[in-house]
Amino acid sequence: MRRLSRRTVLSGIGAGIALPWLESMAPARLLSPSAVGSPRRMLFLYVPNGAHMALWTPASEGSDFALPPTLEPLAPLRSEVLVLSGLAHDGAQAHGDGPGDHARACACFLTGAHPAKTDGAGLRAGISVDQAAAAAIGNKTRFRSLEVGCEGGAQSGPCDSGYACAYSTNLSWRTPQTPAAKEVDPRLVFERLFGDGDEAGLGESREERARRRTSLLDFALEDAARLRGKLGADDRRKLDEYLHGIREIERRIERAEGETAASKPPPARPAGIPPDYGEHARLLLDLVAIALQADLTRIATFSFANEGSNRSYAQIGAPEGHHDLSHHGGDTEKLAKLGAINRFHVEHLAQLLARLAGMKEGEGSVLDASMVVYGSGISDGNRHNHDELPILLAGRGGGTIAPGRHVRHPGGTPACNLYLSLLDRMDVELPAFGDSTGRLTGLEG
Amino acid sequence: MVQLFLPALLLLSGEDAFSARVAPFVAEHCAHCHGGAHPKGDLVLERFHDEAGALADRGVWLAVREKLSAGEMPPEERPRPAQADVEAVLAWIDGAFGRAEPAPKSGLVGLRRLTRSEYENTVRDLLGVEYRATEEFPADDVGHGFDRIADVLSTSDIQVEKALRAAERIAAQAIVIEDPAHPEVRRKAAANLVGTPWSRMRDGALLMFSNSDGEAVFSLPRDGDYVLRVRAFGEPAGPDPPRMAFKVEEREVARFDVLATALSPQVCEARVRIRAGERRIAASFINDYYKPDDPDPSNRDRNLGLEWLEVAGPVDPPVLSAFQRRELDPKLHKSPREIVERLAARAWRRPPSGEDVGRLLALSPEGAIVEVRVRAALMALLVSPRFLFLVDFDPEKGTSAEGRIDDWGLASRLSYFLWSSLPDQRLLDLAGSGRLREKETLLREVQRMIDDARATAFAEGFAGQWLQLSRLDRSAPDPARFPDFDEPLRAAMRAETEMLFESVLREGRPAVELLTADYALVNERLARHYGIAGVRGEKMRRVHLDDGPRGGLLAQASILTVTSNPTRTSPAKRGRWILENLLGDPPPPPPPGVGVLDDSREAVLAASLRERLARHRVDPACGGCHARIDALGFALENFDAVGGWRETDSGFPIDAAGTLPDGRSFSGAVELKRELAKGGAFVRCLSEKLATYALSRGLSPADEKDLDKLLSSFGDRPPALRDLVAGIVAMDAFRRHAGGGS
Repeated sequence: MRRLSRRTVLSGIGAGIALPWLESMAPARLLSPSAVGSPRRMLFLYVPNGAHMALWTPASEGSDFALPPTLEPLAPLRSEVLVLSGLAHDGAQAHGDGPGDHARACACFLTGAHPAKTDGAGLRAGISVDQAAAAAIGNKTRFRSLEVGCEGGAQSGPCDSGYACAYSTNLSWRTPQTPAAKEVDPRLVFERLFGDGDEAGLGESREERARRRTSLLDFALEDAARLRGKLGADDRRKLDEYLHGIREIERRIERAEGETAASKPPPARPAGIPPDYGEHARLLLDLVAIALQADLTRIATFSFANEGSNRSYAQIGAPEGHHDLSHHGGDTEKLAKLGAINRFHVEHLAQLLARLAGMKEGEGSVLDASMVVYGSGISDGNRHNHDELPILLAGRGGGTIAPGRHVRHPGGTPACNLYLSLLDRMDVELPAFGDSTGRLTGLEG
Repeated sequence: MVQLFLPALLLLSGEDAFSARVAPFVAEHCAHCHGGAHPKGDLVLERFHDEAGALADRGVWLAVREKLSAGEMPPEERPRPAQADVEAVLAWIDGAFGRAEPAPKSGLVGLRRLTRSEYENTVRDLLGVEYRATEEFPADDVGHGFDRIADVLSTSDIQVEKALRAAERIAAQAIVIEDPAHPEVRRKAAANLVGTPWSRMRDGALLMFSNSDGEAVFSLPRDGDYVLRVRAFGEPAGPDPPRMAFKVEEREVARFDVLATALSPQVCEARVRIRAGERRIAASFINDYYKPDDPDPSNRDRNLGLEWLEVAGPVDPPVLSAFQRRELDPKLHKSPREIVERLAARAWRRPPSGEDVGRLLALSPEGAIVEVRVRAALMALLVSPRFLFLVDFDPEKGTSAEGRIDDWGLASRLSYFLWSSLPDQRLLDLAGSGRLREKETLLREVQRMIDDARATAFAEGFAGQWLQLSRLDRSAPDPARFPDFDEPLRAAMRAETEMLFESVLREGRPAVELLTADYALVNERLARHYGIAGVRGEKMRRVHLDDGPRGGLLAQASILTVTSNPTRTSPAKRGRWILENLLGDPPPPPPPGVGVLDDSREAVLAASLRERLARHRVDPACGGCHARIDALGFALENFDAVGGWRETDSGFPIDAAGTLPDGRSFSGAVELKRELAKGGAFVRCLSEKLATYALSRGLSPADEKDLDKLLSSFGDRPPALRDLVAGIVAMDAFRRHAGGGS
């Protein structure tokens, strides 16, 4: 009997092996995307500690640009990538709050907000771009959005200069006060996406389970409603977070009634977090790609590591710790290693994009329908500046974006202008987002 | 008593300090730029006329603190203020704003979500079920250095989703419903089997005419032994009989020769251990044979037919949870109402109302067996906000106007502080009789709880987070430089630190012994790392040290490793760790853009780390802070980046001498430990961390004053760790809602 390795199985999921099953679990209207047009997707990938910008930024602009060393792994997909120079996050600047650039960079990256400096009371960033979209159109898919990353929350200790660790570890914020926690274990991501809910083994049919869950949730809602009447504002907010979660599950149960049952459950699941970091990132990104392809969600965030991460990259000859190296002080050896780390991350981006490009859908691919933002909230890790950010966009947004170029915007152009333009393409039209000053020009070419 | 690092001037505080020291300082040194029509950086400092006004703008003053303490302001071209004046301003800021956070705002806070480790412990102590919430739930966010800060423990959608799934899994484990004499039989007729890729239905049987799986999904209630049965027949051809295999999730578990024919099919069965959940189980045809040109027409095509496939079981005796054995023993004849009422009181940590119990029972049909009724109620109990959140007040009444938590809330605060789990029956009984709030009772309970095995959760939870031991799991010492570092060593390192804390706590030893212990806690692996002879086996034990540098937190490999870089020691990180965690005086982070240490190969070969750092300190942007940071870290330079002992570093002899900012000099770890233990700063810092952990929030200036009182109540006697813990429980704040004022 042939035993499939985890990777073989996973790479199979997106390709041929599991397709009958995926089709069987997807609502029928999604099976022929060309008929209704491919759904647009947005995906955000984050890398901490900035980048060695000299190796990141292409020398020339326009479509005739050479890929700099850090972006070289993208060569096969050069025509699908739009490098955006000149974007900035003013919210990540100190503005009188002193040190804490790492915490601010992460909390600001998708929110555009200037996070409140606190280690506890009054925690506040802003609604992130993915969550703004999820709130508006997330009800079209089983999962409003998907949040994954290679590192969980800090488990103890100070994270950055008086900022609660929530800022350094969460890209995605459902409300200004409520981060959307991310999942790090590929097994758990897999079970969440593809499990059908009877892992408990209560021996129920699908209908029985849905009925029981509904009455269970009713009980919880009533309990919460009784409690809520007695609470002050802060406690109410905490309970409302809980209520939102309950309602979200209700929505999913109602939605599931319209879906056909899976005739065949998914193949073997990942065993857990692989010891190898690259393998870990690959597994998670594969799952994200599959979730997008199967239209389980259209919105996802992924972080390679928490902001300020001092992870060792011994496997590529940079054991010193990423954060320590990012304070390179101009040292050429450190800069070289930093460049290697940056490139290592970009290699994973390239694999993901290749994967999405290989997923055919209608006349095009999932990548054609997607907008993949990759970047960091810090530019030079040594200076902690939040302008000239390393940011690129991949995918064609359903034919609304013309990639294959390097575009330089005037210094200080808010990254939120980009987000506002991406939200437009998700059919989420907002007058402004974060610190946006308008739509980002030139995406169409 | 020697106070380390405390600002020199603490005579004035509050409004007096603001008007006497801060306002004149601002007028003289700041207003020149940060005032007038075009203030620099849009920052106007001269607008603050009194303390009340200044308190409203915390962000500004914390920024001022950073700039002042880093020596960045006033800028070089302006006259330097006297150091004493700077310290007076810093002291006022620290006093007014605490170290990181304003006093909790008005509005009483009475809810805190359970952390995932508390969830895990609570389920274990409530039901006797092990559920790995620490693996299944997303990590809890951290504030003030701990994962249990009420304001930071937000609840994402995914957490609610996980709580629902957890409730189902836990309920299935806590209450097993099966009759071993009559295991459930799940049979799928041929028409309900999926035969892929090559099959068709013929006369009510699934006929597989090439290698194929006849498969169905079975929902299995628990891990256990199951009997797989299939009624099958063969259509032989070629040399071998048709062969059939059972597969579970594509893995073959048994195989049979099928000699029976369609006229009298045979039943094949196999007993197999299978995991709970939706499982794909197949009877597969595995040796197809097809020779269309065989002269004998009956010897041309080998096929396998299936009439039905069934899974019976579990057939092994179930493992019953402690809860089920205790409460659902059929001999006890307890009514569902009785069981659910008791269970709710424990799970919600306060008695349910009669109506609550009625609602819980209404989740299942009245005529159902008791197990079904209790199981339905249990799932609801576990997804209720009253389980997932610690509720400090009576849900019928709300937070109390005078800010006091009620007796049940007190019982939970105590048990989640010292056990990270729910109150036991005795605590609930004391809360119910109103006696827990009596001070003598409360303190007696603290002693009992510290003696209880569950207090290990406190050692692991508090000490683990205070000392940042969880970082050890992520430490990745460079294998090229530290080839001996391995997982058993990592585990022993962590165990040593937790055990030191736990034994100092349980044995009533002075808190400073955490620094000055004259013993190590080691097993064979760690002893070898330390160069201690004569320790055998994996068990950790106390080894007395006559002399030498080991003993106490600062000489423990765990601490020395988490404060190092993967490739080398970092005196600055170690110094900063001491300031932050042992002295409660965190230095500001380096301003961005300043030079960093030259770590290139040439630099390492050319000078010792100490010399390179000394050069680094010449830079005025660095020197102010690094003078005090590095001096502490250098004392530990005889310990390498994984805590091993060394005499040289990159060929240079180690010089572990240093001077504290207050002028006291020392040499090496032993003297540093002694000096740190002398002042009150360590015990003060420890009690602040303990109080933050106990209260699940940042400390207010009022809390700081209460801690002052507590510490002075010990007089010159070094307080036992146990007494510090008891003293914090006895503080008024421990019985108040957050934001309740005190």
